[in-house]
Amino acid sequence: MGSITLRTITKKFGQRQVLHDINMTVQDGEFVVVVGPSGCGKSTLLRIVAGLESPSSGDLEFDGRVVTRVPPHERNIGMVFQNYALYPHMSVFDNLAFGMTARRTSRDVIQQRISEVAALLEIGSLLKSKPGALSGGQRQRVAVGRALVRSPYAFLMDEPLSNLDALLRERMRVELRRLHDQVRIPTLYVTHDQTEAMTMADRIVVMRDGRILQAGTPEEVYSQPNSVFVAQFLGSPPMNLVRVARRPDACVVLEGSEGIAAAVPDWIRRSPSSAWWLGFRPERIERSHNGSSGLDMTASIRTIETLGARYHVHANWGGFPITWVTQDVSGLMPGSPVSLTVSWDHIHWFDRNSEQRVTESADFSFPLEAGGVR
Amino acid sequence: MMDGGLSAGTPRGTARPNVLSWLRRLQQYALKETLIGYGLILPSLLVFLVFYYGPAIFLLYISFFHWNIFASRSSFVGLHNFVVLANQPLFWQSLLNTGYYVLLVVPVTTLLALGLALLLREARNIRGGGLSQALVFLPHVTPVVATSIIWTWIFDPNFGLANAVLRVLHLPQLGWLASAHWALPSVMIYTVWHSVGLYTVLFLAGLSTLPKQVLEAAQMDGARGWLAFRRVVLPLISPITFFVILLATITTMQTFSQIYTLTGGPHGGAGGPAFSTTTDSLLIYQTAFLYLHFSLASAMSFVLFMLILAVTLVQKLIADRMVFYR
Amino acid sequence: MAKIGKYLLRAVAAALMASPIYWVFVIATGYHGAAYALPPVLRPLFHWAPFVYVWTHTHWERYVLNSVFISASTIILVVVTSAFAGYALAELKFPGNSAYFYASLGVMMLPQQALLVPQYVVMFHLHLLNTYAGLILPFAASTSGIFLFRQFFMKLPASYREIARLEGVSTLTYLRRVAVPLARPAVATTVLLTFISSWNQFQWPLIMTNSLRLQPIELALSHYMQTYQSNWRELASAALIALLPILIVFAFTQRHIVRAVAGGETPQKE
Repeated sequence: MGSITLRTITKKFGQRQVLHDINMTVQDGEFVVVVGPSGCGKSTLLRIVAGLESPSSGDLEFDGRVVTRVPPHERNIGMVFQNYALYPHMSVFDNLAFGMTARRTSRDVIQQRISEVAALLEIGSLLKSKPGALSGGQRQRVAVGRALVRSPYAFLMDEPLSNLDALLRERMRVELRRLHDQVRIPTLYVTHDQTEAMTMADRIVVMRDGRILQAGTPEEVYSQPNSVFVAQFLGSPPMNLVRVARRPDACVVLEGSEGIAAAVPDWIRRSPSSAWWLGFRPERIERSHNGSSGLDMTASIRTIETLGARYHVHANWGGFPITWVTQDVSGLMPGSPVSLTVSWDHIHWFDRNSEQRVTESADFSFPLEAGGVR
Repeated sequence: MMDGGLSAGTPRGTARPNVLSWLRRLQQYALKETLIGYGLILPSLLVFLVFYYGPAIFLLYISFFHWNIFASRSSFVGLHNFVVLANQPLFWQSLLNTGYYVLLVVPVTTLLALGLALLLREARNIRGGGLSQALVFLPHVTPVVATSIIWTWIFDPNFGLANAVLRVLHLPQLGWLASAHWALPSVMIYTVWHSVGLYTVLFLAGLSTLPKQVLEAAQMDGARGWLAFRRVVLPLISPITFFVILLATITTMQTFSQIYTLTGGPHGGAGGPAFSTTTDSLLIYQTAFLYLHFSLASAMSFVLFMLILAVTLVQKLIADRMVFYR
Repeated sequence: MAKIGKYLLRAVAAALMASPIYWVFVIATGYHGAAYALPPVLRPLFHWAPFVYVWTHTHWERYVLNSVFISASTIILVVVTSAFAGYALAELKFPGNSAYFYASLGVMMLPQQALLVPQYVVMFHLHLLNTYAGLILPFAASTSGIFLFRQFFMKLPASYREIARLEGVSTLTYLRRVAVPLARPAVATTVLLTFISSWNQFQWPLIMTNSLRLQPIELALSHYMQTYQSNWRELASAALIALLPILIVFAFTQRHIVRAVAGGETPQKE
């Protein structure tokens, strides 16, 4: 068991650069989710770790050993693909045994490994079936079993849940995470689904356009997003963002249709920028009672969505659409105004030019290198 | 000293090994795949090179040389072989025979195939529809010698089926394969029978890609139906028609087996009577393998090669003007 | 009315096309002299005695076995070379990939009759005249086979091969255990088309062999035809020997064959 380290990995396909100086580490036993929109380079990253692609420059280390030029099968990687890649003409048993048979592992060992894995994943009764006869969830488990059966150094998963329906996806999220807690094999998991990232990961790596934007635990990335993109990408419904600009007095003005001014904390006026995105999460908004110590706003309600336990209230504040997640909508109805507030602790500021986070202490910065190199 | 210079960490010193290792890495991965790729194409490549492309190039060489398969020496004779060839009346006759044969077989086969395809088109749903398509196609997969046997009987002047049919229709009896006049047309009939199924199936494949309404419009009776067929269906299937005509032309220009079989056997040497069925392929065969005039046969092969190339190009030129590609 | 007319026309066309093959049966299994009857006999009697007589009085089994051996070897070689080249063209990146694709298509454009003389010379120098190898090797690779396998392999998900790479499975094992078994329709089409063309071989063995030992059925039949002139019943019986295997194979696979000829495309489901 060990770690996976990527050092200044770049990848070019012809003229197109799909990865820029990627540095990251997956620690032993860690579950790292790389999340980003399609085309951000996350799958290429995974395939480089697997050895299916070679990086244009940079190095890959397993447990401190450089494996950049090691062919894929010597890396001992277990991989799960989005389409599972189970061979349809072979039984589940043969699918699980395929790699070991090709490597001339003895029959007894094959038999033993497969029954262990089958017991762990509860697929013992399926071993004689063909993949075509299995349900989506069962195929998923078989694909994981095939990756597991060789006792891999690491797990790589490429959008493994994307082909499942919503209900099954939720169940498999829990199952995969529980499996990881049992076997503790370092796992690199790629997805475009922020929910999977938030719920499964020990650490999240957010990517866009071939670059890592931010890395950290789900809580860190969620509560301290370092850029507008990360702020909007993680969380559902996404963070509310409002365009604001400096005003000579102690206020900023909303650049919406109504030009509402709001008083803001001192430090923000001392910052060098003069135009910001002001962001707050829908679930951090509260009904305003007199004497609140945050950003106060009077919004007009447009629609109220019922989700059972909670409501999504879509409203308009100073010309900007905002969403508010609440459990209590008593006395509210579309068209009526409502007084809301967000504590200053939960207000995020982003410079409008750089799209980067603006924080109170100027020298506070977020490490790009996820987890750091130890 | 060199090592020291390289490992000193100067920008130039580090850049060079990086580029090298980058290249090497790229090479290593591609190299294995390349080697496997070459290994996998090698068997078929060898077959193509040794038995097809090699001989094609070799043909050029032996056409311009006085050359004998058993002798180790050959000498360049330029166009000599072609001059000898041009002075052979039989050569010209074989070209005429081939032209006559192609000019009749190709249009007849094409029209018949198109007709059969239209007839069989919607038969697939009707009971026996698949069977009729199979029966029309069947002759194409039969071995030529085996089915030529039954056709020599059909064409038998005394007891054959062909003359029996003519008798019923009160038409004059024909000599068929025994007559210098009718021998080649007899071979034509066989060829049409043997190959029309293939072209029918090709037309059927072409028709099946057409939108249903188009064909329904053309199904209408009378002048409007014909007009719709000519103005709509024909242009839409022109690519497949072109392909059929091209394939049929190239194939019929090279007919050998049925001529050899039908005109040999009971009626003496193949190509008769009176050389009326001696086509280019047959003459090449006889010149090379009966009379062992390899140089002359090569020159004839070269002419045939060029003729087929020319026909292909001309048809392509015509097609570019007339074929309607969607 | 027009519907019935069309139906009849269709039946007549099909019957006309099939009638010569039908008459092989009529004459081969009819009474002695049926071929000379006027008006012609219309119904086969299925007397198999003359067929048995013809079969036992010439070494047909030798010629049939020759044909079987030549066809079987050709089929195996064509499937192997086509699967190899098709896989390389579909899945592997190497310099010359597309050039080879066009080169293999180009073979179809070479006029066979014009190549016979130089081919004969090549066969002579390779000492392949009068050998089984000489009847098999030139047909051991097929453009349509390569094309078919290439099309089929391109449809396989890339992850199939990547799993194999991660597991350290060699290209040959992957082909043998995964790619080719999954390409069963392409294999079936290649086997059928190769069988038909190989069984029907006539001109090539005519030129490349002069030994009775090697001659395949069609060539043997041609010699028999020259000997027996117009003994129609014997000739028709002999023709049946060459014809029957083709008819039997066609009867069971005609849909597949017709579809393969029409577009090279075969249905995914079988």
